[in-house]
Amino acid sequence: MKEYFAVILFVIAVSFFSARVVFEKKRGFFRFAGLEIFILGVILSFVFSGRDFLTTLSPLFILALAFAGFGFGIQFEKGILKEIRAKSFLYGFLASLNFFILFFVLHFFYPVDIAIPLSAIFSIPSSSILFSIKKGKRPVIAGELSIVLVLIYYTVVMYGFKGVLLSVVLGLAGFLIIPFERILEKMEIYILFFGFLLLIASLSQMFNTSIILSAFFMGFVVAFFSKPRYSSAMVGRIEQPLFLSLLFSSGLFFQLGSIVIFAFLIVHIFIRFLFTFFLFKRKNIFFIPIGALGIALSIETQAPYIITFTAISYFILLVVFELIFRGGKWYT
Amino acid sequence: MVYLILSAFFTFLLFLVRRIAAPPSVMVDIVLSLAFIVIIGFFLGKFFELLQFPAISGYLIAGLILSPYSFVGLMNLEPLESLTFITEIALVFIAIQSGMEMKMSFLKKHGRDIIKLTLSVACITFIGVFTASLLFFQRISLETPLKAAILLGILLILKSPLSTIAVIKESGVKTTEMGDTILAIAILKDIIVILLFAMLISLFGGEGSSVVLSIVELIGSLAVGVVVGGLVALYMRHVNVELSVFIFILAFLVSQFRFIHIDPLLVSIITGFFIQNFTFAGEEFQKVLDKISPAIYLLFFALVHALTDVHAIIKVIPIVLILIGVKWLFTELGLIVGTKDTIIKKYGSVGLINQSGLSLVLVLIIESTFPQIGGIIKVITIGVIIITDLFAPAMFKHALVKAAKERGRSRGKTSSAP
Repeated sequence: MKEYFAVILFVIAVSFFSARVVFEKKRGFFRFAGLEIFILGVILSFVFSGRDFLTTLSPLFILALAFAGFGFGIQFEKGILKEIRAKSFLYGFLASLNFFILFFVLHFFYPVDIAIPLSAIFSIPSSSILFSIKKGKRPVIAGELSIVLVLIYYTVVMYGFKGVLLSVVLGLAGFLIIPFERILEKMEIYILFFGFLLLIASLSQMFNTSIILSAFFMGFVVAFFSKPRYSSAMVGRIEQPLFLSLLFSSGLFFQLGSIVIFAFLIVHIFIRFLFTFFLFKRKNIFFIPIGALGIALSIETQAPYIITFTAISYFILLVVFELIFRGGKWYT
Repeated sequence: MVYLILSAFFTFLLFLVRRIAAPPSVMVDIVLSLAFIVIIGFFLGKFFELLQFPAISGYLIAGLILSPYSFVGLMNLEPLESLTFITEIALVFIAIQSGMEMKMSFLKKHGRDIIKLTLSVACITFIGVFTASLLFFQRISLETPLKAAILLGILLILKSPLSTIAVIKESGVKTTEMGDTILAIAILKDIIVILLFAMLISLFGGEGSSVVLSIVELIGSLAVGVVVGGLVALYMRHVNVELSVFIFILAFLVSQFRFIHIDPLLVSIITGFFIQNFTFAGEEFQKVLDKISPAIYLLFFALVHALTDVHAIIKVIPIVLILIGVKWLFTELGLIVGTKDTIIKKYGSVGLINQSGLSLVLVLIIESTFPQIGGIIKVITIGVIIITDLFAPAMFKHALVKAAKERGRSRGKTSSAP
């Protein structure tokens, strides 16, 4: 078992490293799509075929999910929250309804336990693209609020209200780190983050709630009550390795399903387009791809079908997004 | 005190979690175990730091408390065993760092006298510890007492350069001749022990082992170490991004060298030594190593000790105490024989008594290479590390201050003499 861990950690490190070194000067889609990492995962899934291998990797998935939630939560700095107006809430709420509309469509084609995660995954745009496009602007804040709401809907439906409450309680662990910010060195703080994320991720699994939501609340607590700049630095630091780990994990679960997938993909892109067009009337966030959180949610389901679907959708949306929104600084 | 309370709180939390629910799978158990090891180890390490002890003592005690073998029994063995690959990678990292401590300029500065003193201390300490442990191993009818005694004798020569540096810094004594001497001895002892160790492991290693083969392997390891060091320098000159990830990859690759009969430890030490002394990259590489070392030490020391049988350590406490006494006495003898400096003779042995983290690295290799004798050597070494870490750094610090004062007084007398 330990050989698997070692190999996978090594592969992720090498992938991350190669992406940074070799592809640093890439532009557009290839700049940081992470396609090569995904393909690496697919190849390895054939090399180590069998579900046992994937089960063995659970600790890695658990950690990646926790980091995904935390990375999103930590974006909610005080400064950004001050920008929120009543309209942002309204837009955010309306955007989150995407979840219910998608669920309504999907439940005709899929069983409920597949339709729910799929609806959540596809109603969540990339939070980091939102974060990097126009920091603090209303549509972006509305988009981020919509992600929070969708995460809560998802947790309520999958784990019940108890699940949401438990996630909030686990997220309060963030308060235990804040007092040490001024005393400890940066590296020591990272060690604490690492330890606490592992802790709340494992407790979320043990007490049956969403790892992502629990980690999100912890990130939120840390971002809101600590120094703003510090939180932004954290986002930048963990984002790339996290996203690559998630893409790599998606590749490991690769499994092509029926042709219905692709039909639904096209429908989904169309719905997404309409929604963002009518809601925000902004060209550059029409096709915001599925981000780290969407991919993390798909991995949380541990269903290869859903994960493959999400990954393909991510790459298609990324190409579309690149065609529309050229030249800006963006990834994931 | 806050750190101690937090450590106790999280230990209690682990106790509660274990009572309330069982992890749904071994995988979740792995994550849970790692989480508590990191958190409790971190807080205990900070607590020990505040008490002027090395943080490593805290990690080590956290590991022992959380160990499945401890009386609390809060963790399961299987998840911890799955995490041993972390210790293998960390081991390479620590060895590279040890190699980087060996600065040629430092050794040149201290010249022949220090080499003579080191050899005197190392040989005499070895004779003492070897004899005591041989008697002990014979008494308990160990299968190969001579081999075990040689290996333990060599291990107990070691003294950590890293902890020496830390104590010297903490003591606040600016010009410390005794500190410099102890540090030089510690570094030289590392070199001697590692070279001897690599040869002995190859020699005792298996049926096909021979002196010629061990020398070939030794030379091979040295050459690979130089090549790896050169590659690191090239990387740092031409690429130089994400150094911490690069170091992780490097550590992983080097840890796999054992499969091709190349000693990862020796390669790592030579790599560190080469980077430090023959390339431009030493300073920057050292900075990155220092930056990530707290996390590596925490994981390594806590995990290794979590896998240690506490009951076995308690059983060997008498021999551990005897060996510490013997080590102390023979180190003192070594200093008496090797130097004329009265102050070093008087205070030096205190600085050379505590066992280094590197010995833990070596003992893990012994355990995997010689399973029949590795277990007992491991518990004794860990016992020595724990006990010496509890008192030696504080005593060394005190000795440094006293030595500096005494040196100042004697210089004053000399300068005022007609």
